[in-house]
Amino acid sequence: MAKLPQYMTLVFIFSCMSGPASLRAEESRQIEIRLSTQGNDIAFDKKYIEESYAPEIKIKFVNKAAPGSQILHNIAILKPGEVETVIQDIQKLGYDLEKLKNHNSVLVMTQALDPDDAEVVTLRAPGKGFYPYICLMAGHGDILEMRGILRLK
Amino acid sequence: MYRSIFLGLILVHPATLALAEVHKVYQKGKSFSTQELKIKAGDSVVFHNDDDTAHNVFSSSAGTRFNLKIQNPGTKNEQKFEKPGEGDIRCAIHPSMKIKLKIEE
Repeated sequence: MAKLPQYMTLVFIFSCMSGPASLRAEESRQIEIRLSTQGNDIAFDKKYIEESYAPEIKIKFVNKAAPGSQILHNIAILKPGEVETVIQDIQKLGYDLEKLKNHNSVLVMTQALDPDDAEVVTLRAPGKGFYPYICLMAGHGDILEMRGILRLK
Repeated sequence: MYRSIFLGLILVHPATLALAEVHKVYQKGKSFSTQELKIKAGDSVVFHNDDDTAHNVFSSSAGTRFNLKIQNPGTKNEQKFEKPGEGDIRCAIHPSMKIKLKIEE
């Protein structure tokens, strides 16, 4: 039997390994959003993020507020164009995150996190687009405009 | 003449003499000095920041909406409440800080 050139063997092995692995990477990537801990800023460290679209994206959210500051944060990823609706509703609900959990405009959200706490959520966006994210703690997203945009392209 | 006297009596009626009060609320240890505040329409509230950190007093309730913006330690700000209503006063930085406000007629 004719012997395959060594490089052909390597190509074959690589293609077998990289195919499904790269597909998995496409389906689920991890991006990270961190909060500013500078002074009294109530803000995300990134106001705009661009990522390639994937059906599932892991988002790790870390509350980097100083320990003992009592500054809680959360992050909610919303459907495009739904910021004002969500702000109005969270105000009416007295900033009760539990009551907003299943809101039609919220794609995914974390719990209220203490300083130094982190949570990973999985965003299942329906398609490419501009997805607003916001902190729903009292005054953070609505008054101090702690918001940002995630563009999935 | 009688008309002037009548108008004068109206002006000195005790109800019209009732002066608007100025209430004081202190912020220390990342909490308000009171959890409930009952005032009358026309009254003012002075918010003192006696803490070692900044605060941002606001209300997003329909009848009591206002925003004092960032208040640095050692400063104070006054907010007048003209109309009756009810709502929550909060700190935009520290979500656990909350006052139930009632403004009566």
